[in-house]
Amino acid sequence: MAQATPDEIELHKLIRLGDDLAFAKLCDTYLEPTIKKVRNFNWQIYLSDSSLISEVVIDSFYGYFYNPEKFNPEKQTLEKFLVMDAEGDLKNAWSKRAKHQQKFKSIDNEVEFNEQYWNSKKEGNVSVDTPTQIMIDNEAEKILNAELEKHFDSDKDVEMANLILAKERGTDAYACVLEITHLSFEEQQQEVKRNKDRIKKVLDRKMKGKQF
Amino acid sequence: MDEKIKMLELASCKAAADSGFIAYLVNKYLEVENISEQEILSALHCSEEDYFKLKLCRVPDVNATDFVSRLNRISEYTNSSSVELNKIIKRANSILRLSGDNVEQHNYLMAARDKQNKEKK
Repeated sequence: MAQATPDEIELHKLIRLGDDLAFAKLCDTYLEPTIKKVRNFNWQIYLSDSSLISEVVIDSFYGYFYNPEKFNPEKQTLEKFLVMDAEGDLKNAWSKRAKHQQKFKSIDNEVEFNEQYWNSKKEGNVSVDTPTQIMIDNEAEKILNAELEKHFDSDKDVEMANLILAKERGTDAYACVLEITHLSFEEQQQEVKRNKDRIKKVLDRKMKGKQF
Repeated sequence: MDEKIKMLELASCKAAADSGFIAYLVNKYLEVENISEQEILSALHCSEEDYFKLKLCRVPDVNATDFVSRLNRISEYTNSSSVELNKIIKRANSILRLSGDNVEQHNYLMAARDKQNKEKK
């Protein structure tokens, strides 16, 4: 493993001694490149929350400043240590946040406060938008759309098929796709049913048993 | 604003919570003197980047024999006026000392009142 450079060892010494300029020098030299590196390695987190990475990196810099023994200049470079330390903290912060969101969503799914001022139970699956899950969902969506485009000529039909596969039951959603919201509700229902039946037949014939 | 300056600013905001950093004293000074950051920046004759770097420096001990050399080292590193920096550090320090005295005085009065109450009982 690479050892710390002479400049890094010098800065580390200043930090250990509690020098007046040590922390300013550390931030001046390493803060921006560390944040950029951690951002590049965790772009999914950055897209989800642009300030989290900066906050975590700054906290980890203070962590090192208050406890410089964390870094061993004989084992690695200061630059690498700062990135790895911040990444570890970022993973902890992210999983903590995911757990919090999961808890929040499960509470949200259990009880729905409706307009008539009474509480009713609502069924629903708990899903966590972790970076991996978002990536899997996006990929699955792309594959599904590519498959649907093979069997349907128009974009409207693909959208209708997507709604059917998502088990959408409301006439409104289908009416919007078919652009028939100007019709009376009964006419909308008839038109939606006719189109749904047509698309379901194609789905049954071409895509039965396929999983996405 | 340059990204590096933004990051230094973020780091200096956190430093303001620790009385060992100049950021803490600068904030106290701004509060007491009721002046803006822009005013203090022009008084220090330094750039925005240097100002945030200054806030990330540790406070030299006013009573230490090497105070002047440490102060000069900080002002040299941050390209800021040592005269103004000296003024900020000493003024903010005396304000903190005074407010510290107030706490001591308050504690002393509380103790005296407790003693009086006990005697009455």
